[in-house]
Amino acid sequence: MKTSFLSEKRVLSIPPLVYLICLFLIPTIFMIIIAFRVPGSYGGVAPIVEKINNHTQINFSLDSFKFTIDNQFIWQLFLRSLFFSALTTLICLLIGYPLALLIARSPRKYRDILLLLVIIPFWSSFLIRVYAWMIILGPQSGVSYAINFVLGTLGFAPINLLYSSFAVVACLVYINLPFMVLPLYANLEKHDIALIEASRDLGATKSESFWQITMPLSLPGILAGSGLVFIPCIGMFVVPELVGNNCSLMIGNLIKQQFLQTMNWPLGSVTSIIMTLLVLSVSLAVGLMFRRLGGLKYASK
Amino acid sequence: MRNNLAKKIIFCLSFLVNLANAKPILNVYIGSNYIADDTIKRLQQICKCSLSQNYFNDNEEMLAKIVAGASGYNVIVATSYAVNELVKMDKLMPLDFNKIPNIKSIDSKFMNQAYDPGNKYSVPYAYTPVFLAYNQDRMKQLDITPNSWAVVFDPKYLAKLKGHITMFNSSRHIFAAALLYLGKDPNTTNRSDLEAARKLIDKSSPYWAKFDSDSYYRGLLRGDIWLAMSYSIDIYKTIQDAAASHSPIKLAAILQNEGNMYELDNMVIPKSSPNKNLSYSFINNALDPQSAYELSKATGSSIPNAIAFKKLSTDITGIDWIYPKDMKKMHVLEAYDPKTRILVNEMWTEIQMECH
Repeated sequence: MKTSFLSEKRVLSIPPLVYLICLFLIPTIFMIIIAFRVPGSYGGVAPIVEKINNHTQINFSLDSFKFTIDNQFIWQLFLRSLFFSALTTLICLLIGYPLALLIARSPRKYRDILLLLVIIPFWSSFLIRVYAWMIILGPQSGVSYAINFVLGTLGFAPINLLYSSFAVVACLVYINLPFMVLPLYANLEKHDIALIEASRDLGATKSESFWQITMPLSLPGILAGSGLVFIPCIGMFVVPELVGNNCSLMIGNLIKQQFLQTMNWPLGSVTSIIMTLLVLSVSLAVGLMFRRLGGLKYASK
Repeated sequence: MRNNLAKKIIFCLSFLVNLANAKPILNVYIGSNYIADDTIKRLQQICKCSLSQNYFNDNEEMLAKIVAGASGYNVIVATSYAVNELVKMDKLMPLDFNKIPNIKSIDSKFMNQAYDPGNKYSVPYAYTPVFLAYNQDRMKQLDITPNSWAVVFDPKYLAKLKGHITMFNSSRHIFAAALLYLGKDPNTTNRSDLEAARKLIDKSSPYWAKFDSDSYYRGLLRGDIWLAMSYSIDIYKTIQDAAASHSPIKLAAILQNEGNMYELDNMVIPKSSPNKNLSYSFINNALDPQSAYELSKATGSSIPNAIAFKKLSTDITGIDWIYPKDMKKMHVLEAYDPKTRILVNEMWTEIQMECH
C-alpha cells in the first residue's frame, strides 16, 4: 500500500514539528543573529544599516563575544552554574535513589500513595515553596537557631543560612528531587526480583547483589534522572535571585539582567548561546552514555 | 479518513479562537498597588469598561518589554527617566490637555520637569520617595541613626551591619545614592564622578546582603534585614502589616541628609494604544482629586494633586518620608544619554554579577 502524503503518522508529527520550529529553531536563529549586532542607543539593537553624517555604517560586531571572553566574572558565572548543577544532581541522586528503591520495594498497595507523596509538592507554586524555604532558613527560624547554637558552643561565629550558596543548593535540591525520584522509580519498579533472589541463592551478600545487579540495571534511570535535574538547573535564575547573595548568582541571572534590566540584547544572546551549547553538549554526553550502558546490560547478564 | 482528520483539526482550532469580550478592556501597564480599589470601581462605571492592570516590578522591566515590542496598552505609568526614554524610542503620543481637564489640580512644582519639558507627553500621577528604612531596635542597639547615606557606604558603619543591608536591584538608585553621598549631582554624566561612585559601590557591596527591590520589605519584617533602601509605598504597607500581625519588629524610615531620590510617576499614552478616548478618560479620572485622595489614603503614595493634598489628614501628610518638607533635597532621576546609559549598564553588570 502506498502511504499518502497525509498519512496519519505524518499529520500527527506536524504539531510538535511546528512547535519546535516556531518556539525553538526560529528564536535560536534570531538569537544567533542578535549576538553579532550592536546594542541600540535606547535598548534593543541598533539598526543593521545606519547613516551617520553621510556615511553608511553597517552595525555588525564581535564586541559582545569579546566582552564575554575578556570578562572573568562571566566565566565564573558559567563555572558556578555548572558546579551548582552538578552538586544538585549528585545530592538528588544520593537522596533520591534510596527513596525510589524504598518505594519500588514496598508492597504494591502502598506504592501509589508513596509516589503521590513525592508528587504532592507540585500542587503548590514553585515560588511559594521557595518563599517557604526563605522562612525555614531565615535567622529567626528554629533551624538557624539550632545550628548557630551548636556553632556557638563550639566557639564558632554564627552563620547566615539565608542569602548564601548553601541556600541556593538546598532549594535547587528540594525543587528537583521529584525529577530524580520519578524516573528512578519507573526503572527500579520493573526489576525482576527473581534476579536478586537468584544471586542471594548463589551466595552473594546483600550489598554485592545491589552493586552487581540493581545498580547496573538502574543506570538508565540514573542517567534519565540526572539529565532531568542537571539541565534545568543550569539555566535557573529565580532561586539564586531569591535566596542567594552576590556570590551565588548563576548564568541565568546574567541573561535575565541583560534582557530585562540593562537591555544589552547582544550580550544576553551571546551568553544564552554559550549556555545552550553547554546544555546541548551535556545532554549529548548523557545520551551517548545511555546508549552504551542502557539496555545492553540487561541482555548481557 | 482524511476528511475525518481535517474535521478533528478544525474542531481543535475552534477552541483556540478567542471570543470577543462584550465590554471594552482598558489595559494599563503599572506598578502593583498603585490604584485604590474604590477608584477602580468608579473608573469602570464611568468608562463602561473593565480595567485590566498589567504589573511591572521596575521601570527597566517595563522599558525592556516595550523595546521588545509589547503593545496594546492604553496607558502606561512610567517614572521620570523612563518617560524620556520612551519619547526617544518614539513610543509615545503627545497629550491633548483639553481632554484632561483635571490636570489643573496638579501642583505646578511637579510639572514641566527636565525629562519632559512642557509635559508634552506625560502628566504626573504620584510619586514615591526612596530612602532607608530600618529596624528600630537594632539601630538603637548599635547606636546608629541612619540619617545619612554613610550608613550604607562608610566602612565604619558597614562593619557592624554586614549581611543585614539590602539595596535596590537598580543601577539608577544605587548610583544616585552613592553620588549623593560623595556630594555629587545624582544625575551626573561626568565619567570620573561615575567611576568614583562605582569604586565606592564596589567597596561597600560586599557588606550588603543582596540587591533587592521587590521583596526587601519581607526581610525587614522577618528581622534578618536591619536596613534597606526602600520605597515609601512599600514601607507604609509593611508598617501596617507589622502592626496587623502583632509583629515584635518595629520598623521606621528616615530621609538622608545628603538628599534623596524620588520616583515621579507619570501617565503616558503609547502610540500603539488601541483606543485613545479610553486612554484619556482613564487618565482624567485617575488625576481626579477624589482618585488621588483615595490613592494616598489607601496606599501611602505621595500625590502631586494640590486639591486632594488639602483633604488628606495630617496622619499621612505629616510623615516626612511620604511628603518631604524640603522638596529641594529630593531629586528626580533624569534619562541618561545613550553613551552614559551603556557605560553605567556595563558597570552595573559587573557590580551585580561579580563576587567579591
